[in-house]
Amino acid sequence: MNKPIFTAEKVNLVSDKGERFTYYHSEQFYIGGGAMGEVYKGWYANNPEQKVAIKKVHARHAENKSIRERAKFEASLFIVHPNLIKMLGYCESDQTKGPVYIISELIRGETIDKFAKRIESARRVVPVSKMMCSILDALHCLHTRTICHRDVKPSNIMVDHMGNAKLMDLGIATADGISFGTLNQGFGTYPYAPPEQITGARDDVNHLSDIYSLGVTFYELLTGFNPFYSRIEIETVERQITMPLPYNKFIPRPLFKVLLKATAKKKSDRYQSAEDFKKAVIKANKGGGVNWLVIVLGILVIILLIFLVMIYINS
Amino acid sequence: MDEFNINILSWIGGREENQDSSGSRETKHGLLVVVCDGMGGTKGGSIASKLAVETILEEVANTNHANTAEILREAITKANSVVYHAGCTRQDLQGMGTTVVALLINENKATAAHVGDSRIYQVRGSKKIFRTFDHSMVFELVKRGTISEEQARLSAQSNVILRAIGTKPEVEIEINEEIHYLKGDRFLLCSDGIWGAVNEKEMLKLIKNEKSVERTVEHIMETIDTIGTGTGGKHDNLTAALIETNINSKIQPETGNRIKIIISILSILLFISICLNIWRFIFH
Ligand SMILES: Nc1ncnc2c1ncn2[C@@H]1O[C@H](COP(=O)(O)OP(=O)(O)OP(=O)(O)O)[C@@H](O)[C@H]1O
Ligand SMILES: [Mg+2]
Repeated sequence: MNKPIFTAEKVNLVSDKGERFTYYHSEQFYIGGGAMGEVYKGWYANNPEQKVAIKKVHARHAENKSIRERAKFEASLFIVHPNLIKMLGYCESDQTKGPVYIISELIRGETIDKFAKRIESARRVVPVSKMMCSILDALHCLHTRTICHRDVKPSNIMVDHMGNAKLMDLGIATADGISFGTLNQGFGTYPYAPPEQITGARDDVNHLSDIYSLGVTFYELLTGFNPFYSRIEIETVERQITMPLPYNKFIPRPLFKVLLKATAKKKSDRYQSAEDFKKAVIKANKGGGVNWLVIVLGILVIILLIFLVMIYINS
Repeated sequence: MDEFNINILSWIGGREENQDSSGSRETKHGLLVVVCDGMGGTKGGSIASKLAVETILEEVANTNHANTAEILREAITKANSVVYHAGCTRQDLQGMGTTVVALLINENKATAAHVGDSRIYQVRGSKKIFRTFDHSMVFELVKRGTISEEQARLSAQSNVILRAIGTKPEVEIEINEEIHYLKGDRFLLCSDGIWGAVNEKEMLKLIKNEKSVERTVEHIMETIDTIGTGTGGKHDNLTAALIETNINSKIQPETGNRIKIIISILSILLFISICLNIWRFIFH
């Protein structure tokens, strides 16, 4: 992503709830940018110590009615869950045009892919699984409210300084309007998109699509690469439709089986809820199955040896 | 009598604005017909498609080239830079673009050019003779055999296109230089609002020459608009340009005759061999 051109101006915002926020449109306060907009560090105007994250939706999207509505919808979601980012408000100067801002809690931490990369590949399974289970809790919470995230991917999950994983960006990136008669601008979501998001009709995408995307995310965090990604975008898309998840040695077999099921091409072959997915992850990881076998065998061998030694001594 | 009959209609469908543009012009190189489907922003889409149509009509009328493929290539390249620069100068037009499909037809042959997912169909009776292939993500998957054309049409991603006029300083144009035609052939140029609404078989039925050119286009528009209204009424802009030929193109495929001769010889041989076999069967 290209960095925006910073104007250095001080921006004062009033949210739909009447709260005031401030930030500087400058490099110093710039956090990052994605397909939808640019994220800045800001604060409550009456309490500069209380920081917030301010996402300024790109001008080209702000003109789009359905994206505006979607942004409003996202900001209005007031769901309290430890693994969901807290939304604080929505700002616009005019109802139909001009810039749009989405205010949320500021997460002090890093995106989960950076977090995972710092852990040695062979040791990732436990901490990553734990965080994926938290994200599955968050998804379950959304799904029971019939909300689909639609854009689950590593850059939309952050790990805060307490080691708590949080799901962000409630799917405005796949709002109807963006793919509507637009030129493909490489939104970068294809590497996580389930087949139905590509070949399906508009209403084919549902909560099972989030299950798929989280399966791919999980795989990427464990192995360090996206299994479907290709530099040639159309190949990425083709792989989403036809290629099963490839096996990788950094994923224990039982867990791999779980991910394989989560990323089944047919929706009906996947886990039918985030809860089921989570249970399967926990079961697969508990599976010390192999270890128990080793321990039992070890004990038997030792007993046998003691026997032999005793027989030898006796004779 | 004119060599070609033509009729163009463009309707808004269920949208707030018609971002399609179209136009035609008699030039010294032949009859030129252009359909563009714009996209981007609130105003950008319709401005982009209008600019493109105007530029192409102007350029083709005023060029001194003789080669029809070069004429179209040059005109569309010009349209690309005109739209691109317009998009660079105004913030609210940033990123606007348009598809284009153009047909230049004279007594010798027809030449087609396109960028994006607007299409040309050439139809003889109700048989498809020629069509353009979209520069879209889903169509790329069709080419690779990953999905069927019908799946592509119904996909929510069907309008994600891979090339457009005006979004980049350069554009790759696909040109079909020599299209032959017979008297009574019909060419339909249309935006995705048309072909996206019905499957190809239905489309061909709608184009076939039972009615006059005028009436056929009206019928296509009415049919598709009705479908749109029946499925929520938020359907896309629809534009159709229909050209009917009243002559055979002077350039005709040679291989066609050769194949006919070969098939005739083969069928004569087959006939003789059958006769000989029957003769042997009866007399031995
Ligand atoms: N509330 C937040 N607190 C802290 N950092 C944030 C917050 N929201 C976003 N960020 C940071 O800003 C970056 C850009 O976020 P943004 O959501 O715009 O882009 P993205 O996730 O890469 O793509 P997309 O637009 O598809 O979601 C993120 O990668 C993240 O590091
Ligand atoms: Mg994001």
